This record gives sequence, structure tokens and C-alpha cells, in this order.
Amino acid sequence: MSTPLRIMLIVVSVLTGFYIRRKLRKSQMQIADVLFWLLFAVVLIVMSVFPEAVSWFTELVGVQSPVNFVFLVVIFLLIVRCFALSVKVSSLEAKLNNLVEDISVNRALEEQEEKDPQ
Amino acid sequence: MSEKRNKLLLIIPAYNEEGNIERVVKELRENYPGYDYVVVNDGSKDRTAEICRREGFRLVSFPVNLGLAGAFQGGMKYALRMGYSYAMQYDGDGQHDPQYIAAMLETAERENSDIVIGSRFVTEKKPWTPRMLGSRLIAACIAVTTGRRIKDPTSGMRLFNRRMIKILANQVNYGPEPDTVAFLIRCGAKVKECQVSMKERTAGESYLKLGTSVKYMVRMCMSILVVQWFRKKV
Repeated sequence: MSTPLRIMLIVVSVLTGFYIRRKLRKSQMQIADVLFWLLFAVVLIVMSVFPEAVSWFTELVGVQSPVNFVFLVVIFLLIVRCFALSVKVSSLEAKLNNLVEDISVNRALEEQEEKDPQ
Repeated sequence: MSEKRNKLLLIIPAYNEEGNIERVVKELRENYPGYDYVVVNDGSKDRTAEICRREGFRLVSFPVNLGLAGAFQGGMKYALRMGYSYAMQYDGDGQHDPQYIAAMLETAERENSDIVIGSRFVTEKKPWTPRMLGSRLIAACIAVTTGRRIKDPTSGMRLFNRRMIKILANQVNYGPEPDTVAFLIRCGAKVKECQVSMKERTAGESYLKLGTSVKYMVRMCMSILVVQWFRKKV
């Protein structure tokens, strides 16, 4: 891994860390969601600070160059996150549908009751 | 309620149907006063809800647009809460002809069916149009996975009994589509088909636009052939 790349990863990770802190302080994010990004930033920093460890893993799994291994790790983490988000969007949509339907049906029944008391 | 409540509820999903809804419901009320109905306004941006309120139609009105599946499920929730024994989708664009409802209801009661499909092709032959090619493909997928030959799987005119209403009202992934019918058959639902004929749309815009048909076909076939095996039976 080249030194410029390592410096770049560290700078980006630190900046991300500060950005996450701001979002959390302004209550724009939930802790559970913040954890992933903090972990992500930490992983990038660890890989930049200890390139020997990355090289060791690179040889272990038979990847050509350490930077490819870094990309692999990043892609893997992002895919996992993407899937988790997809699950979350689905569940949010199901909840939203349910809410809209329930509220509207309840209101319709109330209106009916008023118009037409039994 | 002053009038005696019927056992069948017609669910009329309506999205931007200001040009159709008044005529459809009035026709229904005048010619078939024996059927209960509810209009489900799916967050229309036009005057659909306003017209329904003005005319005193029975109405469930969504504040946002959920799509046909949401409107259908809202109607099923209403049917469940009101204690109806049967519920069917009745399209707000005037495609469905109410003269066949009686026969469908009669079939459901006589055969003790869970689902009765208002089918265009029980006694009539299915034409070889591109649209019907899609219908054939879906029918083939259903036949392969369930062993049942459904002649008109894409017909939106479907009548459900109370057992189905409970499922449709509360479960996720049970939209008014052929894959739901296919999955319910695999869950042991009894399905019958009843010959009907359908009218062409007179105004407004259909949920199924031309450009989306191919996407729809792919989604249905994948859902019936692949996704069903992952689903939990009800």
C-alpha cells in the first residue's frame, strides 16, 4: 500500500469520524446506525496504520496486491450495509402501509358511526 | 345501520378516478342495491375523495398514495373490521361488470371456495394477443408450481372468503396479483373460476401502463417460480 493512499484513508476516516459525531450530537442519527460507520472508519484507520497486517492477510488469501485486499474489505462491508438498508426500507414501507391503512380505516369507521349511529 | 348489512363487500380502489368514480358507484348503487361497497381513495391528487364525500359514498381515504396493493389491503382491513364474509376487488375504472358478481358469490358459497376468479376464459377462447401471451406465461408458471390450471390469472376480479380476508388484511406480500393467488393455492386455498366478460376502460389511467408490462411479467414469473419456495406458508 502506498504512503499517499494510507494518508488519504486516514484523513478521510478522521473527517468521517467528525462528521458522524456532528450528526449524532444534532440527533440526526440513531446510535445503532452510527456504530457501523464508526467501525468502518476504524477499520480504514487500522489498515492504514498497520500495512504489514494488510500485507499478511493479502498473502494469506492469495490476492495480488494489498490495495486490492483493502478494496475487497471495503466492498464487502458496503454490500453488507446495503443489504441491511434494503431490509430496513422494506420493513419501513410495510409499517408505513400498515399505518396509513389502519388510520384511514379507523377514520372511515368513525365517520360512518357519526353519520349512521346504530 | 338502517339497511341490512350484506355478506359481500366490493372494494373499489381509486387513484385519480374523478372521471369515472361517480358513474361507477352510482351505476352500482342503482342497479345493484344489494351489494355493499367501499371506495378506497389511494391518495388521489384530483377530486376523487371530494366527489365521494359529496355523494355520500362509503369511503376509506388514504392521505398518501400507497399503490394498488395498499388500497386493496386497506379495503380488506375494512372488510375484516366490518365483519364481511366475502370481499372482492371491483375496479373503479368500470372494467368489471357487476352482472357477474352474483354468479361468483354463488360459486363461492356452493363450492365452499376460498377464492373465486372472475375469468374471461372459462368458456371463451383466449386470443393470441401480446397481452394474453403474458397471461399464458403466468398461467404456465402457476401450473408448474401448483399443478392447477388457472385460465385467467391476471383478472383483477377476484372474490375472497373470510379466511382469505384475514390473511390479505394483515400479512405483508399479499397484493392483488397472480403470485398471491399462486401462493395461496400452495397454502391450500380452494380456487374456482367463473366466466365473466370485461369492459374496456372509459376514462382515466390504468395502474398497468404499457411500458411496465414486461417488468411486471418478469416480477410475477420470478415470484411464482422462485420466491414462493422461500416464503412461509399461512
